[in-house]
Amino acid sequence: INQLSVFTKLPSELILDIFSYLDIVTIFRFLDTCRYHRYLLLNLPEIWQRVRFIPFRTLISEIYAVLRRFRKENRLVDFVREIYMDSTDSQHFPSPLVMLIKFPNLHTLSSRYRRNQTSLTTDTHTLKDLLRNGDILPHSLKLRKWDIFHPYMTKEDVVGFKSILDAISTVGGVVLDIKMCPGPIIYEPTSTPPPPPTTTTTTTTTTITTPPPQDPPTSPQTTQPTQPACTNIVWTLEKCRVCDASQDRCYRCVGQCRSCGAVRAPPFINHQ
Amino acid sequence: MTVILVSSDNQDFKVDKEVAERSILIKNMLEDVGESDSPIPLPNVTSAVLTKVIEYCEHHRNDPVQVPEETDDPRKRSNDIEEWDMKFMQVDQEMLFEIILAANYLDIKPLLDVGCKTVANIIKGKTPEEIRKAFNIVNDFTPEEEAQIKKENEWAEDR
Repeated sequence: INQLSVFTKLPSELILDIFSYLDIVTIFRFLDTCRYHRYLLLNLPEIWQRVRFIPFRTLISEIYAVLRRFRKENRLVDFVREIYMDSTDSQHFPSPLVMLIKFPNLHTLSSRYRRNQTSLTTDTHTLKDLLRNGDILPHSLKLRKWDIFHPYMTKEDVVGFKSILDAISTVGGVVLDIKMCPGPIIYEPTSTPPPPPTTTTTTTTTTITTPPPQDPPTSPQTTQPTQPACTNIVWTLEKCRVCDASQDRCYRCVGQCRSCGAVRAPPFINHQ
Repeated sequence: MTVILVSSDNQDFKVDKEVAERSILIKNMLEDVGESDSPIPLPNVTSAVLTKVIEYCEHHRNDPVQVPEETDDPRKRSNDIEEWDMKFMQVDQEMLFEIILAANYLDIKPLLDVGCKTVANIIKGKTPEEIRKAFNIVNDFTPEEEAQIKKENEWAEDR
């Protein structure tokens, strides 16, 4: 054991804290420095539970090498519970489906901001093929949550994608961070639509926007059941950029924040 | 009001109570003993390290108390360090690790975070050889082990 390593001084909770700031390629590089570091990290399963890939300053060859080093024999493949590969929007980067198949205990997968590489339709077809060919067994994967949003998503087959995920997941109800917009709010004749925000221009040319009164709490239920969903994608965590209020419909169906009245921008503007 | 902290090498440090209470350990001790002039012994912290810790607490005396994060979402974990903190952490490695240990013992979460981020930033982006140099690590792998590591990291491999 290399007694010279300063890391010998730290208790394991601090080692975990330090390595929680590092991506998986860097962790493997640290592992390759000396025997003690190898011993240290391989004896901390918590380090391998969360795998984070960063999109920059990493060679694709290293990503594949790292993935190969997660094996049954060294037990690393079984430790992985969460994978974060946001913004890895390169055609050379391994698909999230690779992660899904490779890591049997994976329960959280995050592949946000992969505009060019994300296609729910393609992923749905691939998963169906894998299921049909017996490469994946029904209800065999532990996936519970998949964050897949990117701000350029407009129309995607969320329903088909979710149903195939539910078919392969042991929990049967995989949570996505996207949903289909239920469509514009239609107010029933008995309820009064909220007035639009009133704009007052003062003499000093300052524009003051007065928020409309709060909606009655029943307003979400006022959508008529016959109203077809607009089917645009909505990020479930979408918030007003002014008042931080949650937005449950797309900006086309509800053009102003119902809490503060601010005009909503398309997601690709909000996420810049 | 001031309190007296005693380092492991028996040096006394007179500090404002408000500054000392950046340490949750000391805050709890003061609450337990109530109004008292008794010095507080810190047997795990040397005077050199305590000097640095007090400097940090003095600078951050008016910072709002850090609320534990609602989520431990790794996507929200940033390695960014404030400029003053970055300069403060420009110490030799032994001192850096001693500060981390002291922050852990004294329960000063913001200082612990800065220390851990500093170490992570030293490692980040470096090759194994550069990490060895940064931490003065001796490569003790046998030639066979080295060959195995090289093979594992090869790009095109027929398996």
